[in-house]
Amino acid sequence: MKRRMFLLAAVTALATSLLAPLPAEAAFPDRPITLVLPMGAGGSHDLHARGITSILGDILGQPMIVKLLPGGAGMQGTAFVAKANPDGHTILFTHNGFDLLVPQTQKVTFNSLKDFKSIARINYAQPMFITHTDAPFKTFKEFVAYAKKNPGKVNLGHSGVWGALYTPAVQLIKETGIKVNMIPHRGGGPALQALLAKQDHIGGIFATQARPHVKAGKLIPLAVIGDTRIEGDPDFKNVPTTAELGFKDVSFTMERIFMAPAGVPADRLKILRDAFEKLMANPSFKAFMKNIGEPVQFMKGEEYDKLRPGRHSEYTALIKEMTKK
Amino acid sequence: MFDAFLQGFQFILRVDTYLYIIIGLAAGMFVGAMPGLTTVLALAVLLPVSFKVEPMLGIPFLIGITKGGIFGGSIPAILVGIPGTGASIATCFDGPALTRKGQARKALEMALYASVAGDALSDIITIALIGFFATLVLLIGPPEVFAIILLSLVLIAGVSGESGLKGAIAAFLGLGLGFIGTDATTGATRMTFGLEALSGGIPLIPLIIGVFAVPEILGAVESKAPRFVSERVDFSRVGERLRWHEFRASIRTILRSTAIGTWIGAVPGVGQVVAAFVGYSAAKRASKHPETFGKGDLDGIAGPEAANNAVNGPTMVPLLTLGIPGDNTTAIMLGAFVAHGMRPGPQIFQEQGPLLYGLMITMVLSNILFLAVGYVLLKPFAYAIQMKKAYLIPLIVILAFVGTLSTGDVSDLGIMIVVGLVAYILRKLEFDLAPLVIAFVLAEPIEYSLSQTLLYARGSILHYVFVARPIAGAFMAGAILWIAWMSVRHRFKRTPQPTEP
Repeated sequence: MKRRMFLLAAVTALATSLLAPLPAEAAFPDRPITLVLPMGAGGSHDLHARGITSILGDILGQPMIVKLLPGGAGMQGTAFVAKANPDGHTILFTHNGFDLLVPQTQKVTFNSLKDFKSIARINYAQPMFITHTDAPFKTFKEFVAYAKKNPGKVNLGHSGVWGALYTPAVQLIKETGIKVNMIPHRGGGPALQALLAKQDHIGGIFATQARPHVKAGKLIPLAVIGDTRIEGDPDFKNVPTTAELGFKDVSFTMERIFMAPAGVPADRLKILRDAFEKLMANPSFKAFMKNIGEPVQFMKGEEYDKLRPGRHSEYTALIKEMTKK
Repeated sequence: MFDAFLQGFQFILRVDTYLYIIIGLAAGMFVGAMPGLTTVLALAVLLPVSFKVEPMLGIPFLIGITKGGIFGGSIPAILVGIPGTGASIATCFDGPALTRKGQARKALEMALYASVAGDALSDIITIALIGFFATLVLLIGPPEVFAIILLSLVLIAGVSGESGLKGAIAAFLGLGLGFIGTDATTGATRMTFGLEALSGGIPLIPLIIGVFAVPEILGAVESKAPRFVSERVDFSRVGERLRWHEFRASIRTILRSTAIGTWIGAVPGVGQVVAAFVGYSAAKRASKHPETFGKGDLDGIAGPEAANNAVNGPTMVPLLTLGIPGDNTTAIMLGAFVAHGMRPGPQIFQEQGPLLYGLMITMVLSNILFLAVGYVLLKPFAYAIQMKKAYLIPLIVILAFVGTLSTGDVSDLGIMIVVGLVAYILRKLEFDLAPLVIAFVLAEPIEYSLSQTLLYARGSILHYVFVARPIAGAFMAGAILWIAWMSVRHRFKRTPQPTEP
């Protein structure tokens, strides 16, 4: 009975919060904050968001409500926040692919660089190239050599076009000139399943997903994407990075970032940014992140904003190269 | 392994677990009964509850929401012909007809018993054959998914509609609607007519409300609704209970649908909506009196309701054995595991065996609570709906609007209204819209699994499907044989009709 009342109350509150007029001068935040995720339920962003909103709400003094707006390869939810009232009550939880890369591959109604400001980066996830035990190669270099010798023979699974696992594969193709059979899957889970079923020879998988299968000896990690190894991780610390192996361009890691519409007043943006700094010191946040097996690699919004223009032009070049033919 | 199973029993002697299940079931039924609110949304909103309590409480709580939600959706489907969730669309064939015949209570009770029976049996089958299902999960890839959807479609086709041509037109419309949005294999937007609102595709909930609820209102307005204004669902007068002999007559249907649902649950990306449709079609085909289907047949309730709940058991298998969620529901449940530092996978049965078996035994036992909570809540739900239809249907539509707005974008409302207007016109032209909805639901998995299959085949499609993937080949052959048999049978029937041109 209580649950039902709670849900009813939540729905009504949501409805009224959408319709309520905004007082000109009010303490911020004065009503629940909507956190938009441009993706569906149940992914790693969703899980992060559920844990973070349950703690960050107490820090800000107002509850946070997660709103999932999947569709249009993340662009629907992103556009929703770009056009939202810039009063700080609507913010976005996304990643660098949806933030700067995908908007360049399709027609969008916003300008990624001008319409958003960063609140915080909380961590990044390094995908790995992983193979199964029956594949005709055992190391990353062997894979590249095999793919060169047998063009189009290797099935490479990824989680969706221009997704976190597609982009590093494209960077590798661009750098080495190999030809592989790129197989799209509906998300990281199905990509992992296709690798376990040995339909794909190689796939891009995140460490947290792959861990139980690597431990069980079913999957073999070949290379971590980026220039730093997954430090302090007993299962993956010995896996070489793509930079170590000499593939300098294979660098795409997925950064989990919180963004606000660019029009949010400076004092309100500061309140949001400070709240995230407080969050990083919160013991229940730390415990939650440890339990879900994700690292904390905090970066202030101001600093992350400085990185964005460079990333943007890097992706422009990559897309141009890949869609040339 | 059997040892761990026995140790699992120590976990089930807890009163608080059952309390959480009851709360979950009630919340799920409530959310399911509200068109516009989905079970997945309720799971996502209530997931943080499971962060704060131990897994033995949090996960049964989420399981309760799922079980209750699927049944909850059939309440408005039966009483007013508006499905609360996608899973109860097929219940709209016979549910409202039974209500009109004054048998609403029979229909609701049949829905409850069939749901509970389907769920409980599929849970037991899943636990008994978990090793088999775990192997099966890895044998079913894109070509198998495609072949199974194809076979399902062949089985569903022609069951609901009177006119084959109109049914086909509706199905193609549904496919077209399903293709709107982003092409999943290339990432390009298509068929959006330049409208940004369509770039994400058409979501299922606004489509369901548009197809089922809006025409109902417009129809009432148009006829000045003398029928509507006076009509009410009076539970005290139509409250005749389901009799034992009526339930017994549907036991075969329930068992058949449970088998169908359990099998479909093992296939990733197909799900409850399809299971319910196949369950309904199979019940009609096997029936001795198929002509009563669609006019209020209790088997038409038992068929889809047992099938959609039977999907629940096997969808847990890839989650528990591989750590891979097969749908949104199980993806959220994975969150409840990992938030406690447990990652399901090949070794979880060694590491957490007793707890897992405890959870599974709880899953089976929770069906007893499912029956009890459903039985108690049927009355208040029906009382709420006892008000005049003239108030009730607008109220449901308002709730649907608020629900849609709270979970989606304003553009979803526009989609709902446009779909509603088109659906209204199609109904006037005597189109059956069920093929439209089922085709819409299947458009994405069909296209995705087909394009993946073609990529894997690298140009030699026949060799790939029939030699490299024998399971897919068998299903494909089954579909072809079924079509052949149906057309041959059709000719036999038609021969004594010389009027045919």
